[in-house]
Amino acid sequence: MDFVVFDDVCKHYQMGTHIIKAVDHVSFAVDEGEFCVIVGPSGAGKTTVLNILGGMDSCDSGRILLGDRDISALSDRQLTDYRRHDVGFVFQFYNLVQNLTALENVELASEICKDPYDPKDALAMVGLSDRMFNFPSELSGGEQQRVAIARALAKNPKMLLCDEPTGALDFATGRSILKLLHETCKNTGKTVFVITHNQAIPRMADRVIHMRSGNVANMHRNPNPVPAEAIEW
Amino acid sequence: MVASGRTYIKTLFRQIRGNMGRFAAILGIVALGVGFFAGMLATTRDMQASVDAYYDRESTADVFVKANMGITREDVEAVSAMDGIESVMPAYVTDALIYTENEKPLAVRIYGVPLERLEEPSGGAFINRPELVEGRMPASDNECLAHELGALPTGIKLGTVLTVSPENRSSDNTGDIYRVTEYTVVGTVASPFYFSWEPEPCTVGNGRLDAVIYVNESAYVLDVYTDLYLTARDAGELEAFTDEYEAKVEEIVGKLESLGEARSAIRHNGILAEARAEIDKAKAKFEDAKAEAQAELADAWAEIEKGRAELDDARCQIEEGKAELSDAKTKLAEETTRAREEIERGKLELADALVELENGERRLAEAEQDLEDGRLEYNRGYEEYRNGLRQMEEAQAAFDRGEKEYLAGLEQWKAAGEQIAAEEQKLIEAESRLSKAEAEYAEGLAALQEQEAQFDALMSQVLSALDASGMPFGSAGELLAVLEADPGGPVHAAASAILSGAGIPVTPDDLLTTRQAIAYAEAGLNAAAAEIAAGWAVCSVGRHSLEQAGIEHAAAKVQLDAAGAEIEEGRWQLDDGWAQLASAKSTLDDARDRLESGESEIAKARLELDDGWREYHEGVARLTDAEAELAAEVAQAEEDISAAEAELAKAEADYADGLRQLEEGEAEYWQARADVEEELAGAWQEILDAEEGLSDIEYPKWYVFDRKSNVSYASFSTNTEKVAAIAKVFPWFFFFVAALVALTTMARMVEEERTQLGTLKALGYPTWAIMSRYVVYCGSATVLGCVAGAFLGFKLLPNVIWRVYKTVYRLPPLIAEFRWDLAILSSALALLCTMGATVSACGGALREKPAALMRPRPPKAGKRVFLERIPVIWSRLNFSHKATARNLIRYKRNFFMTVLGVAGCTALLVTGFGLRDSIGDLARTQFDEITKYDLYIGLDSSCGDDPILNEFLSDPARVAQYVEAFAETGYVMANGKKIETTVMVPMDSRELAKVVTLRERRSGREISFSDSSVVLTEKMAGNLGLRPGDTFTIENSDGETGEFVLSDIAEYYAGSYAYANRDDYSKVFTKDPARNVLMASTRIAGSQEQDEVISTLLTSDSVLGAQFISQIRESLDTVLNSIDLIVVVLIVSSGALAAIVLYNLININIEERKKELATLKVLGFHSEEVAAYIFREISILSVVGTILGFGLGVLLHGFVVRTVEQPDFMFGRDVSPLSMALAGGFTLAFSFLVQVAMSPRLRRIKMVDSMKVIE
Repeated sequence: MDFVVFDDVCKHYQMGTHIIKAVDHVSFAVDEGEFCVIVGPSGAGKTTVLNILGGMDSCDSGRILLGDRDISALSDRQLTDYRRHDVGFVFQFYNLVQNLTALENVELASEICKDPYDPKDALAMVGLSDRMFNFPSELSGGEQQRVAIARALAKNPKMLLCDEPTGALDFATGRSILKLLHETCKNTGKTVFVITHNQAIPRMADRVIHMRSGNVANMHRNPNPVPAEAIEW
Repeated sequence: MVASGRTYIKTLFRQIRGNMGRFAAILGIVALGVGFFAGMLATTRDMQASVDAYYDRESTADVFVKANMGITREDVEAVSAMDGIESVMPAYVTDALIYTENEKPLAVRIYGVPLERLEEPSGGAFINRPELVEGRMPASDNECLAHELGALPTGIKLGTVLTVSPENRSSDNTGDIYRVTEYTVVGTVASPFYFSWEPEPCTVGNGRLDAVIYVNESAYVLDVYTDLYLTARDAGELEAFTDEYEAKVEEIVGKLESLGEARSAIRHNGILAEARAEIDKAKAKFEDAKAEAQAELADAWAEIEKGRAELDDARCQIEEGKAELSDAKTKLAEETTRAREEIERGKLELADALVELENGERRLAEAEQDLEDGRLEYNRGYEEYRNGLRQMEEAQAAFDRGEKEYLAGLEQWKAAGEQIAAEEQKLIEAESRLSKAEAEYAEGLAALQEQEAQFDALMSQVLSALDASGMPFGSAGELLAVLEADPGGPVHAAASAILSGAGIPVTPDDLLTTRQAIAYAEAGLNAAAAEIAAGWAVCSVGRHSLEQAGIEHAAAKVQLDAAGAEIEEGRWQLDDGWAQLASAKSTLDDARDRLESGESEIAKARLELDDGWREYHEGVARLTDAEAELAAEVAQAEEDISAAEAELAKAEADYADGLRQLEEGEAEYWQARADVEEELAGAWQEILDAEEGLSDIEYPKWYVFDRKSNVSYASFSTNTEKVAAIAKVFPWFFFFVAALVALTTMARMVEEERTQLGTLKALGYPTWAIMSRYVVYCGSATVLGCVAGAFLGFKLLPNVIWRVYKTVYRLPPLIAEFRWDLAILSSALALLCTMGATVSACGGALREKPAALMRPRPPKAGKRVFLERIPVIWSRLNFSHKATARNLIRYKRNFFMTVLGVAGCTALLVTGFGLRDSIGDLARTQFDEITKYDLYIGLDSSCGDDPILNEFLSDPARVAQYVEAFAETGYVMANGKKIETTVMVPMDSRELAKVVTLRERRSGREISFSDSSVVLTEKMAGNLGLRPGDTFTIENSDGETGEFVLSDIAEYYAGSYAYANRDDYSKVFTKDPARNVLMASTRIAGSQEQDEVISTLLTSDSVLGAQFISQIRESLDTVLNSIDLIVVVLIVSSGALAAIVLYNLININIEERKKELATLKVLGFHSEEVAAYIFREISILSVVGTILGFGLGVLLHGFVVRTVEQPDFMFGRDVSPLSMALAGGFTLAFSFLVQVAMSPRLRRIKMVDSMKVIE
């Protein structure tokens, strides 16, 4: 059952005199509840795909479907609501509001959506119950990323979009974050997209999309994904 | 420097372009600070310099001297000879009432000056040069120049003729002062001595100077000058209004005062000598007068005698007149009676005539009625006649028709008879013809039978011949048929040959012919027989119809005869009808003749009657005329009589008058005689007195004034000082905020470029080189700001303030210079502030190690705020409120910059609006609540009761109440300070409250002034540091000093007073206070009425001056209006201040939190929620700043008010709630506008920014 569908999507940028085809006729489909990794080198168009999928950017042509909803046809206001209710973001640099405690950072997201998780439960899910009254500056990078994941989860979105979630973390912490994301995917049944240039990570994915120069170079289902603990880089 | 110049500058420009907003913010705030500072300071100097230039241009007097006994030429020379005097110009200056053509007297100051010197190229050492504005210079003594409208309340038009009023109190003999008393205005001028709109005091009229005119000095006849104008050497270079200048002039004033004393002594001796000479002259004059008076008395007695004789004559004439008059009256009565009788007679006759006329009318009416009836009947008859006539004519016509028919029938009958006869004749003829034809027929028949017989005979021969010859024929017929069938055939020939042979003379053809002829004859006979038979038939028919016609003819004859008889009968009847009609016609004609004659009779009667009426009316008119004529004649006669009587009475009265006059004359003569003697004695006594009084002659005194005594100078000077005082305070604020703006901006910039800084540092650049980047960035913004600010400030502020002052002064063009000293000073201050801020902003970062710098700076840690300790509130807040609360505390610099900037904005507005309140308070509270009198009258205390004044004061329609007091100018001294004031001693202590409300300002407590009260006004008490119960010293106008104990301090705004009770004053000073002022509350409202009252009062000898308070109030209102312009300037600059500060803050906030904002957007926050996240903070800061600004504003306002106040004026100290609300409202509105303007910036933040690496 296809849950997320990219159908012949293009996105071009005008850069001075020449046009950059950031995303060039990209098509793929992902099932609900899948742990999908989009992998590729810098400039392969991964982030653009994520931006378009996350409603942060629009495509020039093609269709994007989430369930039976056509994302590419939404207005700005509808896109905002889409981001508000349907998408959870996890950033490379966590993007926590420094002036708010961990709990308040989660509340920030949960306060604005329809059917949120209790922020405290969300923090408990990521194993941070005892740090919820700390400010981000008082937390380690891994902990901050956990708060960020809790913030994304608390919104009870249809999918999680993670942009290089381990990019700013050391190997061990990165792996634990990947594990958390994977568990979240399996426990909550949410579709998770992880964007990375790390060639090791696809091994744990249910579905891997290789991107190169704005194209999908290869897409396949991973018949036997390995657990996070088993991967190394 | 860091790199080669060009690269460096390029980077710098890039830096500026990249951070345009911040650059502009620094530039703007610096411009604001410098503009205000330099502009305000320059304003004072520009104002003073402009007026100083004007003074110099018109060589305005530095010092002027007035002397009560005048200034002699020797005095002038003595002054000229003094050290430090540049030039001297004496003048005649007097105030006088002057009439213009429109008859309202004006209080005019007349300057008698050498006008011709004005036209000399160098200005002819003329002092206080009037500048010709319009018209030309006077060419003769009876032409003058008038001061233009503006500074003085009345402008006099060119061509106006001015007449010096002879009623000038100061000159009961105008001729002693002016040689010329009529002047024509030929030019208008402006003078540096009169450029303020404040009222100039004056010694005539209503105490206010209306106009100033300049005449030639030869228009005066005074032998001494009244005024002396002089300019000080070296004072020209010094700028007027400066302390140096004033000190310099004071020095000269001192010298002149001592010279004045010396000159006064000389002058005194001169006056004494003059007086003595005059006394001698008076003695000689006395003797002359005595002789003259005696001669006059003798003449008078002779005239009395002459008068007596004339009166006796008059008596006789009166008696004659009386007799004539009585005769005339009798005659009039007789004639009147006669005329009346005649008129009565005429009236009776007319009445008879009227009756007759009316009868005639009635008869005539009856006749007319009869005639009308007759006419109706006639018409009826005539109508009948017309009907008869028509019937007759119809009958006649019918008869004529019948007759004609009858005659025609008769004619027809006759013609028918004749026709019948003719027919009978024709019938007879036809019958005869028939008989004849019958006979002929019978003869023919006989002939035929014979012929047939012959032929038969022949035939039988032929047949026999033929038979014989062999040709047998059965019968003659047979032969004939063969012959006939074969003409010329063989039979024929054969027959012929046989016959010829037989000797029979006939041929066959003869046989045929003969037989045919016989056939014809037979047919003819048959036809004739038929014709004859038909003829007989016709004839018989004709006979029958002829018989019928005969019968009908006979019957017609019978009918015709009957008709003939009937016609005869009709003819008889018609003739009868015609005869009857003719008789009716003649009867009608008779009636018509009668009617016509009746009509003419009536017309005749009418004419007669009309004649009668005309005669009657003429009679009536004649009678009325006669009556009127009689009345007129009688009236005329009576009038003549009464005129004569009046004349007679007048003559008698005249006589009586004459008699009385004679008696009076006599009495007068005796009185005059006595008077002359007395007067002579008096004059002699006067001469003796004068000789004695030589010692009492007023001692001459010089009054030396400097420009501070000139109303315009003093007022202008005070006002420029006010500007200076404000200039010293206002701009600091801007500098402080400028420093904060620079600090926050530069700190932010340094933070943004941390990594770059670290790189440079790692590359080995020294700290100063790295820092120079920021110093130059901020420095160039500051320098540009300074330049912009200085230009704007020097240009704008002096002009605005100059314009404000132009409402109360007639000012020369402003000289607004670029003042380098001020520009440099203010720029230096600005640079100091911003550079200090830059260095301190960079310093922190540059002290860090390069490695630390290159690492992204750890985000500033969140901090808990005290609010979190109150969970009731905290838990209710959503994350955005919480973040706001923490942010407010976290960014302290921003907090202070914004709060101070906004507070400054509010404070400026509070000050501006508050200033309006203060001056409004002054006008309102002082003149509505405290001062209850509206007319202040200065009195000459030596004069007793005065009728003019008493009449005015006792008129309840004009004066409600008044209080008498003693007032003098004195000094109040305490704590080493001395303040000039008015010492006022009410004649009755308790009465003071009637005209002045004394109260404590803060509590509003009424101060009841009693016999033991000593009260000072608030401003003065404050300046001296006095509180109730303190002891202070008063120096009175005589120079005596004495101690008083202050009992209360009274609220008072306009002026300063020391109110002392009479007892204490008399105890302390040797002088007993006598009334010399009156404070009256009047019921006189209109300015015209007020002027009239003052003019009246000034005619009184005991009134020295009088002024209505409303005039002071009006000038305050003008000032209030000009304050509005200042308020506008303050609104604009406070708006700019708030805008810059808030813009900067929002700018920094957005830059600093770009990533946070982008993240919020990614998380699905709507744009209004994102905006609220930023703007809530701004709004809170604005509100906090506004509240702080209220406090600051009140302080600033208090300061400004105290600075701007003049020594004896106290402005209102409170800012009204409305002004507070306005200030707050404006501030918040500015904040709102900036937020609205900045919101597009938030919309432009891209969500992809959230992906970026932490800077």
